[in-house]
Amino acid sequence: MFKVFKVGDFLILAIFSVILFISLSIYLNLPSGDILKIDYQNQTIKYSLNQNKKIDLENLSIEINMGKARIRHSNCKNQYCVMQGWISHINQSIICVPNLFKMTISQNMDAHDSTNY
Amino acid sequence: MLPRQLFKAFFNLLFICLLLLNSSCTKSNFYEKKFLIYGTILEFKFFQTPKKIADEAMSNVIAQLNELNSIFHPWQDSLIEEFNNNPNATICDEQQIQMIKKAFHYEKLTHGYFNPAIGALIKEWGFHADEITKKTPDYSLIEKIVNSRPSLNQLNLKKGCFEKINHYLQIDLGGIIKGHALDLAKAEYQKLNIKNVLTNFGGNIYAHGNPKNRFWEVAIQDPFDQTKILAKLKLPPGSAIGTSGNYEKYFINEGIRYSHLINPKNGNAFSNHSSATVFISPQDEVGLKSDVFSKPFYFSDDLKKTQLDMNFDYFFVTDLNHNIYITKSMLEKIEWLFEEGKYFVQGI
Repeated sequence: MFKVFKVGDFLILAIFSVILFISLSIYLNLPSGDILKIDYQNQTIKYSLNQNKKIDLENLSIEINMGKARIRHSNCKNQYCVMQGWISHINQSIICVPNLFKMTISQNMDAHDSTNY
Repeated sequence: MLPRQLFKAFFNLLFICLLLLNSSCTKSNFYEKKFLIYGTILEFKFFQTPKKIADEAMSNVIAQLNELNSIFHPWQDSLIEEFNNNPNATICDEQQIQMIKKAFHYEKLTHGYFNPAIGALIKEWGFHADEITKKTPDYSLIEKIVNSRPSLNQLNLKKGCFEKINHYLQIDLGGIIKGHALDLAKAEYQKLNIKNVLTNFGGNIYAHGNPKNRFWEVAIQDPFDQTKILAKLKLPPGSAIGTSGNYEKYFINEGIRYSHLINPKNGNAFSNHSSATVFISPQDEVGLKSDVFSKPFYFSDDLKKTQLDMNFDYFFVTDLNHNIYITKSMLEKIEWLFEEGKYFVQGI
């Protein structure tokens, strides 16, 4: 086994492991967002995540369900965007390339612990 | 270096990475969880609390809420739903009687602006439903209900049981249950010796303790745009904040917004105010007060009179024309964040 692997191989493995763990730790610590930002047909629309809402667009249907969002239906061929499921953490995105659609979770500009409504 | 040593060095490095990952997961000191209860978000944010204890507290609070739901849900299968729809039904359970007595205390304190006996009005406007749809109510029925002056005072305690003496009386504790849930959470934190946690149930927020070197800080949603912030407020330990607004459950009919908040005085689902926010300083039943005290100011046409009647200072109201009416005490606490020119702030 040690004849197959050389010093450089271990080094690369170690570097990628570090990158993987750092990425994972950042991902696991992302706070929940409270805004869904949709970029579609040259327009940006924002929705509060603190609600239950179904949004029907031309080629897609979006669902917001109390703090999280997903694409319910899309007319694209591969359905990758639908399969991605729910997103709820800040900076998480779902992109549907055939429909030139993007939605991202974000937070209101000012840092705060919670929102009164 | 020998291959065996290299192999060992690699796994040592991997072990350090795992330690780093573990420390980075806990370094934020905050532990947050959200739940969906009765179609409303229940949100906890713990600071420096062991995960096991935080989980136990959340699980206990949710169990108590589920029990409350099975008793007090106004339109799903519950004891209150049965009481509302059966003229001969009675309420004999001591815990339920105590809860109703507590609600009656607040009905008196708010001079009837908070009225848990107007379930029939809420139902007639179509708000006893999971999905709100546009509805034109039977105005003659609404007039009959209002003229019967429904009040929890019309529950007669006979042989240890409550019975109705007004045919139109239907109990709906929706205006108190979120606040009561915050008080249950507070008791749970005290029981488990949890020091610092922020609890948000459907927008009503209770601050238990505070994070290190600062107070819990909450944003108040802009009533005209759910994606924007109207203001920010720091919550000292033990305090709470609550808002009644026309933007959560509503329908629009011929350009007028009808909200699930029904004015008990006239049976109308329309108010000249879009929201009313109250701050409750640390005291008993702080959560409950944060839920109830916003209602009188949401409905009132004479804020100064209502302020004096209730002997309560910490509130502000936004009206449909983007005016904000605020007391001096509240103004000292608040930091406005709305876009310049969007609102006109006036003293009360």
